[in-house]
Amino acid sequence: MSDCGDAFPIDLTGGELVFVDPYDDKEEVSIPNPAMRFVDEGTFRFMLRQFVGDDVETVGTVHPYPQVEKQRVVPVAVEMSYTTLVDGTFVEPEEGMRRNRRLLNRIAARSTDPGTQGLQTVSLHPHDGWSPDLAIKCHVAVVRGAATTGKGERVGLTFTIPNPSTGITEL
Amino acid sequence: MSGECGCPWDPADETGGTLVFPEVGGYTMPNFAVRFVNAGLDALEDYVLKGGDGEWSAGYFAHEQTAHTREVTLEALLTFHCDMDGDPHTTNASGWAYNWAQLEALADPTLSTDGTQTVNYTPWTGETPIPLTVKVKPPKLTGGHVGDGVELSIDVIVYNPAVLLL
Repeated sequence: MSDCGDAFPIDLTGGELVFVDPYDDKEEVSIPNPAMRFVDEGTFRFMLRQFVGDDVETVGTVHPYPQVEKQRVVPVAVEMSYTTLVDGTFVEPEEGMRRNRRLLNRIAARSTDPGTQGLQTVSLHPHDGWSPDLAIKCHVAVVRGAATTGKGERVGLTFTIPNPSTGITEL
Repeated sequence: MSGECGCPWDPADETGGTLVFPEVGGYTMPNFAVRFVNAGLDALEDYVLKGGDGEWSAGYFAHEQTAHTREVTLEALLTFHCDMDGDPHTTNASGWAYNWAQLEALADPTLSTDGTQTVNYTPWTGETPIPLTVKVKPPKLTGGHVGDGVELSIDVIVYNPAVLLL
């Protein structure tokens, strides 16, 4: 146990994600927490709709067709501490790195569960004073980013929402 | 600038023309929350040709090109400080969410019927508004959010570009 870590103050301006059923029987996990905080656009990209669909072109004209949103893929950038756990406990960097990564990996592992088609529920609380809170059925993937030696690293969380029209509901 | 807490562009600069969305509550760009950058609405007037020549073993044979549709990217800035009417937002976060949601709504007609809507384009010359049949894609986040706002782009397909042969 180290004397002091570098716990992140809880800053909700980038929104808040709650992994309602994160792993095993443990309690739910939220980001931001003392070990993880959002960077860049935070959770804002959950708002960006992703339409697909082409028009049909024939000789001499183009026939417009409506588009559809089949899927929404949302990248979220997170900064993760090595010296603090999500409950605020200060630890040595080696332990913090492994335990925090393990937590994220277990969240991602739910994407392999055939019983749920790999979906888990994530609650989004934008905390922007305007947008509603949402429940989102999605897959979660974790990509390791650049490391800050001895202190932490960047982590990319990728949320894939297979059908936004039914997978995103207001809480 | 109108002041520390006011809209960064005040009043909305319409010298580059305007685009009105009658099917989406009459939303008009530019406004106090959104303004165009770079080519702005002039991009609508760029003549775009599609199609290439055919190729066979001995060379190419000519094909006429087409201009049935025109795909345009409108580049803009969105401020967090106030809404489209110039009313201030209490926080950057609420300003971002609210102003962005207004732009997202412009793409709602893209999901129904044939995906098109009619918008009224008034060129920088101020001449009579031109009704354009367009499909509007959701806005894309293209640049930073530090402090005051973000950069964005909106892809638009114009189905009657012939009316823009000015």
